[in-house]
Amino acid sequence: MAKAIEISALTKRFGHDLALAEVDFTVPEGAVCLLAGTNGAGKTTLLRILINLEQRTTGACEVLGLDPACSGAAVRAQVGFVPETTDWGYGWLRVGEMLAHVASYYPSWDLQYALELSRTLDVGTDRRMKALSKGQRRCVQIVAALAHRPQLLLLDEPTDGLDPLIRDRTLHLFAEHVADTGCTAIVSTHLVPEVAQLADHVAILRSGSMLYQGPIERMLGELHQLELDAPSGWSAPSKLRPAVLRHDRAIGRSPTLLVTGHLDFIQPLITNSGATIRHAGRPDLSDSVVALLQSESKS
Amino acid sequence: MSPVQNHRASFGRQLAEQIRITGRGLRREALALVVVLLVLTAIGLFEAIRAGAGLNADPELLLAALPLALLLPFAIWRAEPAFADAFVWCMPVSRQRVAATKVLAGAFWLLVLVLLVFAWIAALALGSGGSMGETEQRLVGDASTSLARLELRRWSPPLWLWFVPVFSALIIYLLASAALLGLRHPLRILGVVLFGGTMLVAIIFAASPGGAVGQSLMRWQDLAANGSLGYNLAFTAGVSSLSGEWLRPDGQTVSVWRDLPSLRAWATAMVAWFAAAVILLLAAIARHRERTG
Repeated sequence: MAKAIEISALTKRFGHDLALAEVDFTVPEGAVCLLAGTNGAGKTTLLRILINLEQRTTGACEVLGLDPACSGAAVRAQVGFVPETTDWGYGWLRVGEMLAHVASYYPSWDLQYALELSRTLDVGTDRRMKALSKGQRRCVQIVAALAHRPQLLLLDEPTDGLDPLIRDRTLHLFAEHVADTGCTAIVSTHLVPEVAQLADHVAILRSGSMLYQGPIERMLGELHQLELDAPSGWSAPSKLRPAVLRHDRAIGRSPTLLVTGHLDFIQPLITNSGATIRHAGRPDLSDSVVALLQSESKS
Repeated sequence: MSPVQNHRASFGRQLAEQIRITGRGLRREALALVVVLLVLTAIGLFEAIRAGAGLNADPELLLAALPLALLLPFAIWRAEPAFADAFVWCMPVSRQRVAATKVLAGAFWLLVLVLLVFAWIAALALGSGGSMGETEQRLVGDASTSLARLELRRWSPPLWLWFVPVFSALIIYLLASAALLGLRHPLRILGVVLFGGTMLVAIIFAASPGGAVGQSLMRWQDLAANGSLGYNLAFTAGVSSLSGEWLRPDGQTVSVWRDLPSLRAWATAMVAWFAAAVILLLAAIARHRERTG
């Protein structure tokens, strides 16, 4: 499968601070990748490196077949970018003028589509930019990012500041856009459940290191959520501990384990430790991401 | 996967867009200028009527555009700080090109501004029954030897003198743009340099009045101001530095011109300053080159 993004051993330092450490990251063409991670994990930095708003310190990076460090402008021409910040300046411009300004940089700008997006997101084109709320400015950014029908979408907290109604519409828009254009998308967000339906790949960053990346199906297929009947004070046997990503204990409730590996290996270990599996199921994406982040925190 | 096609706007289209958007951003300043010009028009006409004579326009009046040229880059870049995460850097254009088109767009509006001020001066002068450039008698020569040997010459501003403020404004605009694009904190750095320099000079003169270092500094200062490539010559064609007041034996002061403004001398100084400004600007823009790993 062709790769829209291919990063290997990418490191980014800000002075003495290590923002990204030897990151390998691959996104296949047409995939929607959820980029999750802790605060300050390097998600925004990674997105900015992809369009050469930041320079990498070492490593290799290819976006749509180009090295952004050498062809930043050519890469940006094919990317719809929703930045983390909603402050664009240009407060004196009306929204329509702002979008016309953005359009002038993209010969592929689809005016009809821009109008359609504006209507869907309730973007009043006559209003001045400085009069818009954070959420409304975010909507203008989303219109600007989608209307030139880019091959790659980089969305940094795209629903930040949006009300529930517009948030729902925006997520539908993204889904429709991806389905219609077949573009690749990376969505960086802390609100994992929001994009669970949209994403088919996941990448998890913590403290500048890539903990996991790959298809969501594969990740969920490797994880099991086990509800146990266990005696009071039960703890996982030592052989099982490396496979336990999360162990929820609550007074009066049965313990729950989130484990990785084959059940054929896990089940006997649990049984031998005096507990039984009452229910085995798949965790949801959000729980899995949190468990992965927690497991690394412990290690 | 094959590399992406280069779907980007042409330089001409980018420049046209920057001219449009920059002009749109300067509307408030333009409105303030119109108000100032209207007030000055009213004052000028009132004076003309009171004196019963028309107003004479002088090329030096256009030098009023120089402070505006100094401030213009700050107005142009206020929405998109050169060293911050500005929207403009996310566009599919190389950073150097976008900086260059923005500076060129500002230069375009500066020239429009100077032309408008010129048109206003001309309209005020001709409308009040005055003339464009007053013809006068000037004493020319070396007044330090003998006032009797000075030559009396008839002088009226030549056409090229009207272009001097245009180029001066452009040079100042380019220098200010270079400072804004080349320095992360231009006002702070220039302020420190200016203050530090002034303090240093003051200390030197205080420590050793009339000393060799002080004398040398004075010579350099005079050279920078009044030399053949000095800023007085480059920015005013020497209008402010070629003349001086001299005391006649009868106690009256006369204005004596060391030499009359010369196109050749001005052009030489102006080209040198213009080239220096362009080099500084290019160096400043180079700081914004597409970042390579």
